[in-house]
Amino acid sequence: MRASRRRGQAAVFVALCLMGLMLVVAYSVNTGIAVNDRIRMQSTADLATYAAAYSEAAALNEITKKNQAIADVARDCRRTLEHGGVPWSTIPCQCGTTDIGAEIALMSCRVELDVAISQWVAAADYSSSVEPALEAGRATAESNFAGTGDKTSFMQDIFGSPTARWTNSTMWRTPFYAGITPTIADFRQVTETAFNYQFLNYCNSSCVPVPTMSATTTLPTWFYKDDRDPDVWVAGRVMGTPEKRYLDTSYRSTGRDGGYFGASSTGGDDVLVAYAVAKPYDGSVGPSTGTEGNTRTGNTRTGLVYPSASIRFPKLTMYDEYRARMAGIQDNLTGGLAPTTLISMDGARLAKSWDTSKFEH
Amino acid sequence: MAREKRGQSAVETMMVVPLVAMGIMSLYYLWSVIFASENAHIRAREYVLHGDSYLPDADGVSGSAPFSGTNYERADSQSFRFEARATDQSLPVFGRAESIRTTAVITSD
Repeated sequence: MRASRRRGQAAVFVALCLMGLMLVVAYSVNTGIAVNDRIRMQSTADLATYAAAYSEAAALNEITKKNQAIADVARDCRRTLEHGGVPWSTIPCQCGTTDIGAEIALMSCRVELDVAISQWVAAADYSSSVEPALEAGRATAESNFAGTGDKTSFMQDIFGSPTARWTNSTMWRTPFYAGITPTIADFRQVTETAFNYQFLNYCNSSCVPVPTMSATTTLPTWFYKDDRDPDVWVAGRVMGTPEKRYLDTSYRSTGRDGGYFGASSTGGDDVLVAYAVAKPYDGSVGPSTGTEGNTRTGNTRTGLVYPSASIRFPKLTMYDEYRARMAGIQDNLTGGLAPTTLISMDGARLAKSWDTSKFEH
Repeated sequence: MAREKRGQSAVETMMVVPLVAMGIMSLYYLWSVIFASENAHIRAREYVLHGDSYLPDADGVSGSAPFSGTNYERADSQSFRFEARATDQSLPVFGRAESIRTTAVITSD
């Protein structure tokens, strides 16, 4: 009787063991897939922000070339006004404060500079610098993790972010030229580059020419930044829902179930989130040394414009050598905020906390 | 009756042990596949960023990268595509090993 009661005991034991074993296997597989997806998502974030930074670097190189073109125009203008070291003299025995030939040359310079400057502004505008960069980031995200392209954010809608369009503050972006506001960096324009010339003046009764300096004409020319470029970088947040190949052991239909690694979950969608920061570096859009009054403006002399050898042209310090690299986020943040908290915050709170010194460049 | 029960534990153990062994082997196999996949993803990412300068265990990794050996290359154009492929092999279990291939891409398109 006792023996018959014990029949099947082993089967029950085996069934329980197998069930436990299956649970362990399932949970291990679940964790493995989740870790794998987490790594994929972080890779995607890294590559997406790198792509955006690379695109920004390319845009900065293009902007630098346009800036060099402005400097070239200014240099050629000065050489023209130098007139080979011979004073301008087009109308003998006339008295005046200017020379017609030189003034025509100066006018031509002004037009050429305006064209070169407008090309620079077009290259630096948000639509041709930052926007393509963000598109590159999204395309890269989509290529590496299907479904993430549309959910990739570069903080472009957050005030204070380097990728945000200029809104109504001069804190980060300086409106400087005809109401057009490039936003890839805080550029400033040199507005007082000096141009003058020497001409023969006949302001005496004997019609004897006297070499005279014209008044200095100041024209807007090239652009520069106050520092190298700590304010140009890309912070990316990539989100995605991996394929449902795993067991969602903490699923709740109401959402907020913890999801993957504590990421938020709404309904049945577990969302993975990854952050990364990258930045362009190593180039120089404009003169990076000197003060407004001399090197940056190209005016090492306030008087005669020639000989040109004595004029230091800022082109020498414009390096179209921008590259891109990954950047880190410092953990030592004020207020005890985790890096991910910092870059995922939005609105006014972020505006107060957005401090580029927290990002390793 | 007692004679009938002799060896029952041995038989039960013989039945359970292979099952447990299979479970453990399966676990090991799945871990190995997942590990290989993670490894491939990481290697592809590192290669597409660092190119040939990424030397550790570079077998099975190829592609193009914006790195020229000593420094990142100058960004030339806003149209670009760098791509790295990495292959990794899981540890063989039951005489079978999975080959995992992944691609990492940096592109503007």
